[in-house]
Amino acid sequence: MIDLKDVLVLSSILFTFGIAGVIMHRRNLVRLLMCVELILLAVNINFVAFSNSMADISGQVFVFFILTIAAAESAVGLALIITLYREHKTVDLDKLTELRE
Amino acid sequence: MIENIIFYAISSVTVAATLSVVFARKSVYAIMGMVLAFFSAATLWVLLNAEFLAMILVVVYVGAVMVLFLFVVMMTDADTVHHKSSKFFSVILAIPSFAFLLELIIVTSKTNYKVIDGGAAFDVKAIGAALFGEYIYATEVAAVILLVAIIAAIALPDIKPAEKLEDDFEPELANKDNRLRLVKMDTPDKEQNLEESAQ
Repeated sequence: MIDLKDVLVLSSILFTFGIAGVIMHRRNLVRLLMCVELILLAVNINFVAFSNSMADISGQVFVFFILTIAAAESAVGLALIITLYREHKTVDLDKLTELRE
Repeated sequence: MIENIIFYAISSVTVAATLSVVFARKSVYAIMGMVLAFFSAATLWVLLNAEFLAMILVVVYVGAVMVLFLFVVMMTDADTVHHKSSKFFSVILAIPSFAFLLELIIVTSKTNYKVIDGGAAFDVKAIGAALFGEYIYATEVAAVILLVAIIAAIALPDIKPAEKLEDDFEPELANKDNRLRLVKMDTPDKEQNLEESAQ
């Protein structure tokens, strides 16, 4: 029997690394999206752990929806990155300042 | 007991993979670390009685989304973006991150959770009954969102980049002379017209 709190500690570690990665790679669009995926994975692990320990199927259903939305989000995000790269020849967020100028 | 040992082993693999995602120098290595992280998370979910979701995670994420990421990294020069990795910034980032992690761990270990002994074994049938019974509206909305995402992902890269105007481009100002022109034309005879059309 796996202790629930151990799983929560693991997902906390993943979440913290994800947020630190978002701050570290705040200039690189692709790496930033990957770190967001890490954060979502941590959330999903939490949902599955609680679903197991509370014997409730709802947690797994919510993981299903989160996976759907995350896949859609990354597909649209990557399409946007490709479009931006064609226009500006870079994925550097500091150079994408068109709206400010 | 054997479950616990497997859990700790897989957890350490997951944490190592996460570290490689965040700290890898090249984006391709970061993606490989991500694949490992998703695989080990799927193994964890099998231990937590979520076999169906584990399979979905491997098929959808490792099979589709990670391949998309690989394509994007290869099509763009993502590694040419140099982030300033000064030591000062690393320390500034590391201290709040560690404090945040410590806080999360303390809060989660101090709270008492309702735990049902033995856990629960779900089969795919139960998940399907919940998806198409209690959560049918959410399922429909998720389907529509997927459709929108498919259309957006296909249509967005098709947009042509706008033609940029040169800096010394001066638009030709319109005046009366080049806007309107009177042309004198001969009116052909009616008979000649008829002949031409007959030919």
